[in-house]
Amino acid sequence: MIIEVDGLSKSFTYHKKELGLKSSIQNLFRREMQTKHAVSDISFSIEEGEVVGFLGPNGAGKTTTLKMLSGILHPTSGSAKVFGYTPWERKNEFKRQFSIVMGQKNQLWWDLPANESLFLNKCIYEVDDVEYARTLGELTELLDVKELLKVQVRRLSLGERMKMELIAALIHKPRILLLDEPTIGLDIISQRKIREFFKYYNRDKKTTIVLTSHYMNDIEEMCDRSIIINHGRIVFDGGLNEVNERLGHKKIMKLVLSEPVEEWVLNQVGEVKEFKDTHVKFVFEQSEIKKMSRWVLDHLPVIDFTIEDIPIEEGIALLYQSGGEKHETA
Amino acid sequence: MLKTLKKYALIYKVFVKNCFIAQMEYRINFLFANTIEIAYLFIKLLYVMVAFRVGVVINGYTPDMMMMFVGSFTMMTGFYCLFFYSNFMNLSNHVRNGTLDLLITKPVSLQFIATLRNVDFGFSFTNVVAGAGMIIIAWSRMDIPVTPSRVLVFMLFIFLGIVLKYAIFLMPSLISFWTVQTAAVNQMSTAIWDMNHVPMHIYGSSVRHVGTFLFPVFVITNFPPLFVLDRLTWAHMVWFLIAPLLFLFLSRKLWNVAIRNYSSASS
Repeated sequence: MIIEVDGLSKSFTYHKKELGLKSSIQNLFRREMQTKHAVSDISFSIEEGEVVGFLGPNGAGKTTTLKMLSGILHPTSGSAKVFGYTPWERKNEFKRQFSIVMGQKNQLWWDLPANESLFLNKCIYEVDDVEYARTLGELTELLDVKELLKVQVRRLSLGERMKMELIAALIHKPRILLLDEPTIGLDIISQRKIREFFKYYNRDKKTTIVLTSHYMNDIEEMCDRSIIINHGRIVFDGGLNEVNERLGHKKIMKLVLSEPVEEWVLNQVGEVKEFKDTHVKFVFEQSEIKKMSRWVLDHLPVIDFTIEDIPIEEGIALLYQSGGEKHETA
Repeated sequence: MLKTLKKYALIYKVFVKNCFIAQMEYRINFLFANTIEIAYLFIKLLYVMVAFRVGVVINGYTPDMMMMFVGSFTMMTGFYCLFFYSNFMNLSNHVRNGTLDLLITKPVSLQFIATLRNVDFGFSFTNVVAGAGMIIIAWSRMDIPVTPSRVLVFMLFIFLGIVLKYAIFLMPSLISFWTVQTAAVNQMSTAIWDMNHVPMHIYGSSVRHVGTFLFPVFVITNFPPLFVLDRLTWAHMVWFLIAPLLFLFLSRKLWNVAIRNYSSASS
């Protein structure tokens, strides 16, 4: 195992600020402190070469987890080992073996061409000249940015800048790549290119990749395994296609009716997810398919009906909703 | 050890190069910064001019001697702006915006990278050159012999002064790890620094002692000229050798405590 996390928790204390001027003045003298549990008792392990995605709504604790894995934050309790090192001890031997890319923060010098920042990283990571030239050549070719190396970073587009950030993060050939929302704000084509690059890079170099995202496509295309996190807890750990199984093999039935019916009638059938005029959507257990279909066809003015699996997005949304109470881990 | 030093020297060289290239990107700003500094310099020179005009001797200091003190102060202010000022001011931004995150993950000392990364040529060049000029003029007007040993020790003292300046003025900026904003504290340390543009003997003995031992700003700019004028006691000389190491040690300790308090920021 290259990453092992056991019972990791992180809470932040902050002071509450009510709306308005009066409370600002009160705050000068007395502050009501509050604690936020960003991550609560999470455990998982990751093998070398895996691509694992952290999925969750804003504020779920994805980034906090990543920051603890990279040693940026000290946890409140629990332990983590990355290549056998405790990240927040911040040993240089540890730091040489990984890289973190944050979609919202940049390490490139704003006013300089990217190659100057890349050279600085070469010095910091002590990459020798031949190796540096080879890696740089390979990465610029793969990401198609050879011509842009001499352009000031502030003149690059967001997509181009992200590619340069990736080169800066990969110039020392890290064994683990941590990505925090790497495709945020990018257009669809740039997103796709960056995803393809990660997939290729993982296959080619066997680099372990851990990424957070709230774009489903990122996770769906790149990761064999997803850890869904909500309210600081892991609610699911496995392949995305298994989400439905975890939800107890639920199905969706969509109906089109010839005339509207009262809602109480529909409520007799089962859990109504959506209801608008003549269009109705039910969620029900797979084992009830026969019973449900028969009842619906017998009692409702149906003109069309379909039975489908729950789309992954909706499955995940269901997990998010249940995240507060449900604390299961795989 | 030597390998590490070489690595840091190389990285620092790249910092200097990168800063220079970045600042040259904005030529007009660079020229304006220098112009403003020249204007400030004239204001400072007025102190000396007044002393020269009146020809008074204050607490045993002739106008020539005063010029050497003002020169030393001006040069040291220049070095401070050149190497440290923008870095220290940026610390609170780092804390507020969480930009220390990526620096923490680099396999070099975080203190090194966070406090020495920027070298600001715009606001410093004039001060360093003018300060050195004043020292040279005062030195030659007073007919103080220019022996290699005197010049070397003077330069060593200037170097120690720079080290001490780093250590002392880093500490107030570190408060930002707790309070986030430190503009008020920084104003105060700048005000204390400005007490320094005259010889410390102008102040009463209690102020002098606090400024020599507790918050040793006087050591930074007063001791090198005092040495040239043969007015530095042996005890002070020993203190000048110990103080930079002691305060560097203290600031390092405080840095380590402060950095544990870093809580990153939203992303």
